[in-house]
Amino acid sequence: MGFYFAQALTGLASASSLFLVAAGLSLIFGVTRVVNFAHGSLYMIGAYVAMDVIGLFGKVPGFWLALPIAALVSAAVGGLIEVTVLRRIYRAPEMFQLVATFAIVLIAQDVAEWIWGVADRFGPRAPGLSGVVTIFGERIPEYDLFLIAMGPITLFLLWLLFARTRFGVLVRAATQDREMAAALGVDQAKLFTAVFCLGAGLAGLGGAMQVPRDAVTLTMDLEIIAEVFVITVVGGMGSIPGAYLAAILISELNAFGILILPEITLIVAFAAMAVVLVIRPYGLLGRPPSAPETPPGPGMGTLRLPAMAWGGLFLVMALLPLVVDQFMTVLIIDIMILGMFAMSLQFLMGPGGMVSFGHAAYFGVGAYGAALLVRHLEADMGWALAVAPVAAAAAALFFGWFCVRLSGVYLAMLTLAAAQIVWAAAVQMQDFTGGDDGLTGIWPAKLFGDDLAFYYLALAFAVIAVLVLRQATRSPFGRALTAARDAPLRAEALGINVQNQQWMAFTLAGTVAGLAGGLYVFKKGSVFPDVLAIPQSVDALIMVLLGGVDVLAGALIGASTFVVLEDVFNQFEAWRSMLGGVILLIAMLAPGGMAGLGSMIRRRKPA
Amino acid sequence: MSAVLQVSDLAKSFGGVAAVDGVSFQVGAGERLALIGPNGAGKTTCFNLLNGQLRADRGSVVLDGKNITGRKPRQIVRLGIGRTFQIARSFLSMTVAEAVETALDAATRHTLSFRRAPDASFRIAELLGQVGLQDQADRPVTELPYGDVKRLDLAMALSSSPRLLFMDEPTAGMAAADRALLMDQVSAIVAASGLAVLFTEHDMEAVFGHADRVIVMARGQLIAEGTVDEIRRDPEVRRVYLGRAETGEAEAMPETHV
Amino acid sequence: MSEAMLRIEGLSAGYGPATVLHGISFSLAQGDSLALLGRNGAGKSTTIKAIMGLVRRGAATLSFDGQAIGSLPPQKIARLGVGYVPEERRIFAELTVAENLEVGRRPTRSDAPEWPEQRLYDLFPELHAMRDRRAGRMSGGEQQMLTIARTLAGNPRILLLDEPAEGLAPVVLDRIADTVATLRAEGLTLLIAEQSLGFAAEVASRCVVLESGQIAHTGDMAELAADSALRDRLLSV
Ligand SMILES: Nc1ncnc2c1ncn2[C@@H]1O[C@H](COP(=O)(O)OP(=O)(O)OP(=O)(O)O)[C@@H](O)[C@H]1O
Ligand SMILES: Nc1ncnc2c1ncn2[C@@H]1O[C@H](COP(=O)(O)OP(=O)(O)OP(=O)(O)O)[C@@H](O)[C@H]1O
Ligand SMILES: [Mg+2]
Ligand SMILES: [Mg+2]
Repeated sequence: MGFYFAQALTGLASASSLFLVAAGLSLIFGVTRVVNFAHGSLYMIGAYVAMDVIGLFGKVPGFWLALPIAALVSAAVGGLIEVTVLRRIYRAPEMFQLVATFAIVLIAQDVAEWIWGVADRFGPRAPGLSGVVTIFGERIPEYDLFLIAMGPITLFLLWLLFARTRFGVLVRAATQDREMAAALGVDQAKLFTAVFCLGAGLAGLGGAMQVPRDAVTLTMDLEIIAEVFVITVVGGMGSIPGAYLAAILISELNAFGILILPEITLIVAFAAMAVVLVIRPYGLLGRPPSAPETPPGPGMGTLRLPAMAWGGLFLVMALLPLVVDQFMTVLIIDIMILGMFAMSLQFLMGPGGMVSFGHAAYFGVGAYGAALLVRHLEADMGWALAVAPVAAAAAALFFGWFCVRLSGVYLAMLTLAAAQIVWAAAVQMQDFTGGDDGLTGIWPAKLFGDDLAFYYLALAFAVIAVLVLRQATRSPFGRALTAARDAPLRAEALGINVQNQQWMAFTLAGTVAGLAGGLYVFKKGSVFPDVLAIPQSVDALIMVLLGGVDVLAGALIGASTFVVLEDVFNQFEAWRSMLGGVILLIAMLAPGGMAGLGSMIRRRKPA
Repeated sequence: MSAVLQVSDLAKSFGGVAAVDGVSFQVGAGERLALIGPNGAGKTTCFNLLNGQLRADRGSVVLDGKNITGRKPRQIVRLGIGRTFQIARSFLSMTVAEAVETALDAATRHTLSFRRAPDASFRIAELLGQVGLQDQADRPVTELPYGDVKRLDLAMALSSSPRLLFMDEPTAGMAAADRALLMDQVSAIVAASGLAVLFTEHDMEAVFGHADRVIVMARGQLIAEGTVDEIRRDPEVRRVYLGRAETGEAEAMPETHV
Repeated sequence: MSEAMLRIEGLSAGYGPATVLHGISFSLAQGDSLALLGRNGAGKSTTIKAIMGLVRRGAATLSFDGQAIGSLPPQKIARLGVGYVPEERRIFAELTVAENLEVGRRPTRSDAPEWPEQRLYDLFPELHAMRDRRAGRMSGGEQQMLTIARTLAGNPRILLLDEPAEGLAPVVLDRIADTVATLRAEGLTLLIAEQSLGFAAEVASRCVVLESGQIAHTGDMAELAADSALRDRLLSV
């Protein structure tokens, strides 16, 4: 009895810090509609700054100074990000915003490494609260009790601010319709900066509060962001009380899950999310968005490359290995594989109108599917390549069923969570998947062992992918899909089963991604959980963004640009920052994409 | 006249508000029935109950002898009810013909197919002809004036050859003369095909010029029912709804189109 | 003629690369009321949005009370006392009715009619009963009333109304027309885009007819209403 009670309190204590970070993220999303990937970075900065303050002033009063100072520094950094970057891209499609904030993550990682070094740091216990109290015969750290109290206090203060003040009313109004709020005399730019600072400050505070409990590391940014995404989705995006409930739910599940199923704690959290979303698609306390968040602009999906151009491209690709060297041949194989991956995402996002933050899941399932077959059943390459898309299709069919029940950013967050589930499974099911060590020695059949032969194999697959996706876009299937994107209510009223249409499209996109993943394994000879991780998903988004979301061919252009850029930047130490910088520039200078300038033309508003 | 649609004792409340409170009426075959009433009377709610967007608290809706209460919008469409939207939103990335073709694909349950239906072009031309858009077939929907967007909306609603058409404020947002044209087209289609139409409208010209019969709602209940002439003379309807509005009886007024 | 309150000279405006207004000029003196007429897509809404700073504007002379507003952002223009009622309603659906009005509230000013809460509810008693209801849960016409009330709550000096009559029951229109008459007596200036000639004729004294983004006719409202040949030429499809 006492033991379970103690375990429950531990869960509650962990919930507080998570809640602060999630509340900040939810707040920022609620107001600006930006899913702030860099929120984890702000959390990390808070933790490091707290360590510095403690180092500077000693444990006492250092620790208690560290909390407000960390919050303020993170708030200031957040304000800087808002003013210099986000303010310019509020109107851009959510994909741009996500990718831009991810670019900030990349830059922040380099900067943090440069300032604080790579070594993990361990904070002191909180002075004055380092003891334990005994409840039901169990020893409970005093600091945990402090953390437990912080949650409801923060929740109450935030509620006061947003429900009871004019500032709160204006912020909520601007959340829904910035332009209209401005037309009523509300200076929304200032409001947004204020809210961003507040959200960032909460993240910083959350980071500082974790210092006595956890190590401070350079990977804590992406570690927490996935968990916090889950919490905001479970709680309902934009709902702060929801975030609190969800933080408690997930933390308690972790606290008890570790007793029952220590290997799959990560999966437990995500499974809980799936259950919640089936029952309440918009989260525990979330509400469906009152209007479609980003009405699609005209021109989306209307640009088409004629068959002639595709034919020409194919001819060039077929002849290319005859003139370029082996290094280039290998590079182009990479481009074709990633190009297929990016095209499948383009299909999902363009005609499908569904933005996925976790498309790597299907690429990765294809890759792992092929590799596992070779490893455990000693299958040959042909079988493995046949199974890759089928495995990915099954995964997409499963996760897609949940995802298509949502739309917009909600859908995107859920795709990300789905990818995290698969990633967690790959990491934690050590015996089956090799865990972090991955699966190695997956070589192609003799026939394709040679680069040139593999090149033509990849080309053949790429051609199949292009034909399938192109036909899918032009057929009644694609047209009905586009109709569902353009005007879902209208489509439904014509008898189109919008969710079903999107589900099938999701599955098709996943299948093609899986095909690419299968090829990838044999190209690399190995597979690691990285292929399922967030950066892999973001890479695909960047490729689509580089090429423009409107055209299938754009994904190929994007993939080429990306692979070449990465190849160049990889020679430098600060490659992450460089890549981040380039992404930021593109997102800020060409919101709408290089090929997608058409979607910048605002559509005529119905009278 | 046989009833296409039979509505009995339909009710729906939101929290404490009884938006629709025991409404019964029928729509005859080939009849143009107007539903009017003050703002917040429950007209839109009534529509949403009929087309499946909302679930009724009680009451029944029977289409051609078949109980359709509680079905999904999609299923109701397939049973022969079409609808147009107050704010017409169309498929902005398509041309006019593509939008209608999509509607036809939906009507023939063709939307999972990877092949285009072979014989669509005749039906597309026919539908566009009915609403006067035959010359606009290849224009992008984004370039259409709003009146034509509404006509396209109508063509799409007709693509499933419905027996009954719901129109919530069909002329909203249109210029006066264009309103008349649209309603004339609807009347012509009704005359040619025997389609029944149920519509709401705040534009009295559309109502008094194009309805065979009018029912009036206020506070969730039906307060009057009758021919156009009966309704415009009804003192209660004048008090709660018409006010000083010109009812098209005598003097010429600025709105009258020519 | 008195000093113009709102002066527009050579206004061009558009969306993205497309220009839809081509050099529009007119002005309103304090207390004037002008109707903007024209077919669907003529550019009525765009004119109003351009005054409000909501669309891309070309080089034009736009001044309010002698102050150039051609490059001011919307919130600054609103704070000068320009009240805007959009045609798409754009209520804050998640906020309650009372909160919607709170967003619109601005300090009272000596040179404009005052709109304390009670007066708003007197004009639209329907809203009073729904004060604490989320605005997204109101009927179309109720939302339209809220849009108008929300703008009035800012005690504007000039009112830019984009199709205020849309979706309202005839009885409510009567009430609004009466209120507008009172407001004009209190010195409010009015610019109203309308499809319904009847309502426009009731509230406006002058009119400007737009056609494809240009001015096709300027004149007296009553004259236009009376002259059916002119009306046909300018407004019929
Ligand atoms: N989701 C909702 N929650 C609560 N009340 C609602 C909701 N939707 C509508 N109502 C209320 O129900 C009543 C009927 O609304 P409805 O939209 O059916 O009116 P209407 O007759 O279509 O009015 P209008 O002519 O203004 O469009 C109104 O009082 C409205 O405020
Ligand atoms: N958001 C937009 N993006 C692109 N073009 C637009 C947009 N809004 C309007 N337009 C175009 O600008 C032109 C003028 O439109 P506007 O809305 O000003 O017309 P209006 O006179 O108000 O028409 P209505 O009577 O339909 O309200 C139209 O041709 C329209 O297609
Ligand atoms: Mg209605
Ligand atoms: Mg307009």
